[in-house]
Amino acid sequence: MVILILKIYVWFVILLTSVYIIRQFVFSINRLLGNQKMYYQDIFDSELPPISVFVPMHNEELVAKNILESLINADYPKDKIEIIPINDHSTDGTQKILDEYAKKYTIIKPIERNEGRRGKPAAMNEVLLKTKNDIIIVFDADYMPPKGILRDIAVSFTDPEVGSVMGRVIPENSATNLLTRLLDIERSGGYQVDQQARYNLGLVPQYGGTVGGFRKSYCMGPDAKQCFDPNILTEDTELTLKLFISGKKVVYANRLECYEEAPEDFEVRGRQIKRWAQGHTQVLLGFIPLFIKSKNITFLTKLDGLFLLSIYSLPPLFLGAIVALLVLFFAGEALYTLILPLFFATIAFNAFGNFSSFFQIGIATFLDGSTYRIRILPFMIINVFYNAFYLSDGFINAFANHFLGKASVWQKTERFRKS
Amino acid sequence: MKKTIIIILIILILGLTLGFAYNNALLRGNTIFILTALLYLALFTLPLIGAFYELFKPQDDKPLFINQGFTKDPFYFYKSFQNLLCKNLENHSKAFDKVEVFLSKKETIEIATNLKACKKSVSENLLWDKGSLSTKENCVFLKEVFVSQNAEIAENNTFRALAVQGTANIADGVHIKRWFSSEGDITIGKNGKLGISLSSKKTITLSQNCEFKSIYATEIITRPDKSHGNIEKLFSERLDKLNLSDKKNILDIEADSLIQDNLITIKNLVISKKDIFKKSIKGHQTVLLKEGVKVSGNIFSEGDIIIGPNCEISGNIFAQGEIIISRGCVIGQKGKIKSLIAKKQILLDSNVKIYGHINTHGKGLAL
Repeated sequence: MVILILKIYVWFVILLTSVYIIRQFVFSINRLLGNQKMYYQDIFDSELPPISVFVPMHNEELVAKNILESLINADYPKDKIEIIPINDHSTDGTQKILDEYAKKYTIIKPIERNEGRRGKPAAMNEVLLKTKNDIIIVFDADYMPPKGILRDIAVSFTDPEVGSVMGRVIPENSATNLLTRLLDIERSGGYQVDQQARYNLGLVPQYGGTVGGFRKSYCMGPDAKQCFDPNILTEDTELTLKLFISGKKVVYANRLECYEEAPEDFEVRGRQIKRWAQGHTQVLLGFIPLFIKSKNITFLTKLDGLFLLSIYSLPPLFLGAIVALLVLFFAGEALYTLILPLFFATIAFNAFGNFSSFFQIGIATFLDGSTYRIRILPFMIINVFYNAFYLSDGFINAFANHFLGKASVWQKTERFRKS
Repeated sequence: MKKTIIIILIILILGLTLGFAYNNALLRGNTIFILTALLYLALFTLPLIGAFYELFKPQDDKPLFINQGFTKDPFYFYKSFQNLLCKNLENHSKAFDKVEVFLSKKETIEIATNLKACKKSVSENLLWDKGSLSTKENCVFLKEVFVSQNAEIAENNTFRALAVQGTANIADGVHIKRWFSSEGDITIGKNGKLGISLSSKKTITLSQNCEFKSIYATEIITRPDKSHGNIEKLFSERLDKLNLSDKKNILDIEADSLIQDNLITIKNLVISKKDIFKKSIKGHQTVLLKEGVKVSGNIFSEGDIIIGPNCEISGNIFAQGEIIISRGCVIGQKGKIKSLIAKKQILLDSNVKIYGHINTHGKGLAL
């Protein structure tokens, strides 16, 4: 009986992974050969909306100056912009830098938080209550916004259905080590192919919480006290779901590219993706019934949303399948141990690695006109196995916290910039 | 760290594969298992050769390029060309001359004042006319032309690119291959092919059958000639296609309605005569406006946008399909810049006025 259950379990995982492969394959073909949906960047509009640019910061003295300089030099009417760096419980020299800039530039209006719950959702909730502008643009502190990006994000909100917009993230430190090189191609696949295809097909492009923006009025009603649940670790995924449930849209803009600093250390990266897995799963547990019931969403969009939110279930299922195979091996089911690992490895190799299947990465590097970086692709197997442990940890944690009613703890991603 | 991970990885792959192969070969007593495993191992490790090579001798590890200083500027080409001339010919004072400069390659700039180009003449060099340029029929300018005053261009001329500081009168059948920009008014004759970018700081007037991709001006006008009925025919065809009796897929707004809020619909949307919208419209399929509709906000569609005669749209119009604008329509407002953007094509009837910008990935045509 146990053997039969294990066999069924292994085949279920293979089946589920195969469905994800088909999904990724459809996206890749759409990006390569399908009809590409236009973003709004070609719109010229002399009546730009007033915007608030949020930069959540926790111990960001290494990067604070860079992002403030970029935002000051942005091509946006100075009477229609306020830059709000949110210093969230920093213990380093971040506040000193913010004070210096606030003295020099009136459009910089820093907010210091030393009380209350720490974390991006809680910090943004507090500041959302203080700002009057409806259009909120968000950059993490390690980002380097190009001069024209604010204008190109803001014009998308001329479409009344747009609740949020997401740009493309590109690591500026790709050459640093093997990890940053892998993250570089992974990001290419995730944005250039996956996000664009989901936008093309009218599915669920995801707001990523940075290099993008959202409409405050669609996120919180006039009497609401918060936009984000402070307990959810991925406020971006939460917002994406909330917008779709209320019949609004998230648009993806592949041409709105912005440099970020990718983690240079495997452990830092591990913690980052663990947070993503945990937050994503929190949203799955909290919002999926509403998402499925919503009359504002088509069947295909619901299906895609379900796949999107369940993606972090794959690593624990995958690890479980390896254990099941080992048990089958010692139970004398040698055929399973010979055939299935090969089959299974192929599937796992193609299926996950933070949304970027290898097929997608190949097409993305081709579309980006990169020549030799694709050679590094086979090393992605390191990420697949390494990520599996952290993602499983995050996924299981989310379930445990959900059912035990425990609060989650925000963990900041460390910075590596030298100057 | 990097090397340790790689070594562990190799040992893992080799160990696991050979382990499975050995065990199963023993169990089955069949060499086919060993051969299969070895084949798998070879297929698995071959791609790693290139990966190792790229890791230790990187050829493509720099970040993807982002132009950090980029901002949209409809006069980008004009300004670049003007800067280039200023930089290379700053102290030049002769009325006629030829100067060799090194741009991306060695180029000759011809300098002239009030040049009158002869019929069928061919200019192979960059040209800077310090005065006004006038041409006869069928002239060809293979390189960029900069005119410091006005330009009077005769029929069937061909330009690679043209920059004019004053006004420009362009006769019928002129072909611009790349871009055309002017600080003054531009008037274009019939059957013009207007390249990838046409811009003016004042007014652009288009005649019948002009083809374009992108136009930017404070005011864009299609000549108020007698309508040839092409757009009326297209409008009727599109309206018939919508099948108004199919209530499940059509949202039909009654005539003379006043809509105060944004309207968003997943159905085809038909807006009747003289309706007034105080805010914006978003349709997931075709959005069709009948005669005399007024919209204070923007119109967006995932499909086509078809606008009937004499409508006034104060905001932007954006379609993932095509846009058809009928006679007498006004898009945008004087003194403001708004956009008319369609992915597939834009068709403009006569006597249409647009304040701002037109852009299409497909074909733009003034009918």
